Amino acid sequence: VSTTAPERLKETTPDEQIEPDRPWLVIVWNDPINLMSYVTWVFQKLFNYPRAKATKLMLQVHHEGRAVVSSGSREKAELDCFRLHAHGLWATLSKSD
Amino acid sequence: MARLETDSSGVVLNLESHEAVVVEQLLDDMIEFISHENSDDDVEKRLFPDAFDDEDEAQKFKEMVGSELRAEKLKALELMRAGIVAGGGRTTLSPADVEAWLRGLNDLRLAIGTRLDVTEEKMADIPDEDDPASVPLGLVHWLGWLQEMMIDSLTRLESPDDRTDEGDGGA
Repeated sequence: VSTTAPERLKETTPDEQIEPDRPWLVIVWNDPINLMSYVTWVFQKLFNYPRAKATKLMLQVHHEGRAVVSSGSREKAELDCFRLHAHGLWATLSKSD
Repeated sequence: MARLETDSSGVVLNLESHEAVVVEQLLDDMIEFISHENSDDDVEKRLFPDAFDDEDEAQKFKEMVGSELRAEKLKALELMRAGIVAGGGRTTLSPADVEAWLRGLNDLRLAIGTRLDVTEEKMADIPDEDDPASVPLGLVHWLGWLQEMMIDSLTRLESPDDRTDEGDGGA
């Protein structure tokens, strides 16, 4: 794990306690600049995904325009999003339906 | 041409003098740009994207972690800047340094590419030398090549027996 967790992201949000069964999704969007090898490396490094899973997600971003790369509580999703932004990936958060 | 070697101490980057000059200039410009907020700027928006569709949520997220994100990015760029040998030459990078370089190189590529408003087609095309954008576009590709070499070197450092996985060792 390369990035230090922002202090305020470690706080628990009330949302999460009320609705634990509707996780937050972290979505990575396609962009024309980031290299495929770099995006794969970031997924392996940040989420500890095996190379095959990281590659599959990268290809999904590339071909379908977006992929859900992680999910969980709001605080976890915010931290993942922060780390993706720190690595230059275009990531957003949304609540699963 | 820049070279990258992997040895027991880490990764050794060897930049030629003209390459060192270019990277230094890019880093100085980027450090200057990123040191403060740039409202209504496409590069700023790409480097600090909205985390939520909802504007208020996006704004709140920025208020919460925006300055920390800026500091992270700045730290990587400054580490790169400190590692450039004036006039070119060898810099030894630890695996953590290489990771910072990867992030910094990526931000440089994003900044130049966003300014050029590149598309996937434009990135895949061979640059037309008559096009004034061919020089910065060439830089985006060169920085990407450096990034690829660094990813390879990290992979080799982490799993030295895994080299054939990349298809460069043969079976």
